[in-house]
Amino acid sequence: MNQINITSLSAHLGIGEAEDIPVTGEEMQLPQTVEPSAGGELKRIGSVRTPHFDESRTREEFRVVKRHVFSRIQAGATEKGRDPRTILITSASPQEGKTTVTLGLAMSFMFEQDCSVVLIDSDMRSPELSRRMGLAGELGLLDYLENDALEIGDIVYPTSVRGVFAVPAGLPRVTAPELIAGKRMSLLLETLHGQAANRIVIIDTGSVLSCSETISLASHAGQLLFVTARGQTKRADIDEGLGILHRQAGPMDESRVAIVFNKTAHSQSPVRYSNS
Amino acid sequence: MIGPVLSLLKDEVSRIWCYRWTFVLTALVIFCAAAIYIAQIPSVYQSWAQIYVNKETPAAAAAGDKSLVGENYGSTYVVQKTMLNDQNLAKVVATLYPRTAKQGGTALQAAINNIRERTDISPDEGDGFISIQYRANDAIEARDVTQALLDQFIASNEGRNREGLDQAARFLDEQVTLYKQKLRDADQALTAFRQKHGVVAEASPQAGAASADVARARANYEAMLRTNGSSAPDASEIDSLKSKLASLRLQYTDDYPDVVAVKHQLDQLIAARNNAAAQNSSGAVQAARARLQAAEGHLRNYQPKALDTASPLATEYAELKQNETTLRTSYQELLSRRNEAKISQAVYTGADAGKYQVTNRPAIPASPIGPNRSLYLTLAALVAAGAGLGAAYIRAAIRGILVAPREVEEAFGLPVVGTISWEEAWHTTPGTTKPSRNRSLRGLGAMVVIGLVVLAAGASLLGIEPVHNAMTQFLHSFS
Repeated sequence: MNQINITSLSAHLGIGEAEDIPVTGEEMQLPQTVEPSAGGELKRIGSVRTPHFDESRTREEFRVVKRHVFSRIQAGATEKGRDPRTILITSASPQEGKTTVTLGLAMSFMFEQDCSVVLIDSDMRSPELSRRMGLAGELGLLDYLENDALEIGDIVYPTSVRGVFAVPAGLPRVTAPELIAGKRMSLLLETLHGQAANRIVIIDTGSVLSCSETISLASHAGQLLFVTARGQTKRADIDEGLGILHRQAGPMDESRVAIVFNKTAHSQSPVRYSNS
Repeated sequence: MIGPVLSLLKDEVSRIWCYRWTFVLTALVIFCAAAIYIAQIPSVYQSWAQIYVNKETPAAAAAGDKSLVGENYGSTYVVQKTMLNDQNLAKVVATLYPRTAKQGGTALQAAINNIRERTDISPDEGDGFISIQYRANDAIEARDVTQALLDQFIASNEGRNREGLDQAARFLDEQVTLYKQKLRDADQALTAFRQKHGVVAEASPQAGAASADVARARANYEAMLRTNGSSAPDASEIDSLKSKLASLRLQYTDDYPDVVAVKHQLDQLIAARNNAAAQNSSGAVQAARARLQAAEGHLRNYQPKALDTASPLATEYAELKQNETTLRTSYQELLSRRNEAKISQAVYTGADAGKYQVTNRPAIPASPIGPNRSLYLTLAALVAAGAGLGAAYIRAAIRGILVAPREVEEAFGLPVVGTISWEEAWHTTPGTTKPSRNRSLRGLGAMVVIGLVVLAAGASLLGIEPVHNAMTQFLHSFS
């Protein structure tokens, strides 16, 4: 077995003890915990901050979305090659809350006992997810897609949340759309799912109208969560975005696409939550 | 029924709320523009004066119905027409705006029309009180014009009365003189006719003197008779008859039955006396009788001679008498009217006549009567709010934003599987440590500035003087 260089904990992360995990070829075991190895290179761990997440309306709202995701997973794949465990989160335009929904949804999975989540930041124009998790500049997706020598374990980073792992965007490249559209991306997704039936991959991608990687990734995704912002997203933009996805990434019907309405007022929440 | 409507309404309100800053800015711009316009509307000041028209002064009452002044004296209509006629207003313009008056022509006429339009004359409470109001953009000007109107009105009316009455008096004097001369001519013609044709005037002075001579002669004669103890008839009885006869002859001719009867009676008494006197043949008595007879003969010369009524002389005489009578009547009337004119002059041109009393002199108005800036500001605020709402709604409609999950589902036929409430903590602008607080501070600062501007504009327009002065100076700095 090849052992990948995995990071160990730095003193201030304090999530638990890390251990070396042997990795073989296509089968990569994701470390549940990491610990420093003597003389080894430390691997960073992403951090996730979600204020008021433990007891909040937001937690419940993301749980509602999570239940939908689970129900689709349980319903099984609708088309060959599109695993419902691969969830693409996108929107029509930038700044509508894709990364927030991605993080929130990922956090909602931390309460699941038998489930792990891999967050992939594929928004090459604005890798917000990588920045939030403190993994900007680290080896990431594009590095893996371009360099055959890299292994999956080189780009998967554990986070401060149990069961949640992150794949940063990596160093920016002009050839990003082409790399994402290549076969190595499919291989990555297959490998990630192949390891465990309960592994969910959530891909945070750019907006449909601003980047083309989304369309490529949509071809792989079994579920699309289309984020729209209340009072911000234009109807015409949504229409155009869905139209592009439908034409270029396969039929976009309710069996595959769902909408998450973001930035709503508390009164519009389906959760009747009291802060008392 | 109501539920869906309320839901729709709520969604629309939410849609507008998404562009609340558009609403605020639009409303603010429109309100400020309207407020500036309202602030620049010139204030209107109104000055007020009151006069009392005393139609019944003691002097006028004393004059009774002998005044020459008409019944419309002092009515509001007359006051208005006289005060606001071109002549009076031209004098007012000349007093207050000499430069405009010098220009003359259209400028003068425009100034006159301007004053006329701004002046209101109306009856006030109480009999005889008339209110005069003038509106101007300057308080002092309002007072000055009102005062000038008042002064000019009183002066012109006194002058008019004096002039009119003087004219009337002059006219009457001329007529009196004319008629006096005509009457004199008529008297002379009548006298000449009488002298020519022996017609005695009914009441001529010569007849009066002759009658007096007869009376004296008779009295002397009777005294002589009494002295001589004659049993003549009572002289007083004879005198009484003679007096009666003379009186009748002044009115009637000798053929009149009363005259004939009295004459007969008198003749009898005289005959009886003469019989008695014949027995008394003293020379004194005869002399006295002779004087009496002479006086009676002289008197008969002035007794009206009866004219034949069918003769041309009678007709001419009647015409002369009629003419003289008519002229005398007219002359008497003219004399009466001239007396009335003199009385009117005394009543209506004297300094203490009191016919127009200024009961309230115009003062500088302390506050303007308009425009009603409070009302205008309120309307401007409502219009601005409406325009803001409209702008926000139009902008939301143009952008086609979505505000409810229902709208999304209806628009795209896709399920909305979740709504994520907006939380300030999720604000993701990179590099800012406390973005929500900065944005809140910016919003708070903007609201404070906007609020101060609105308060200042409102205070200025509502007349709070220090603020108003400051705002006025600020606005003038741009002009």
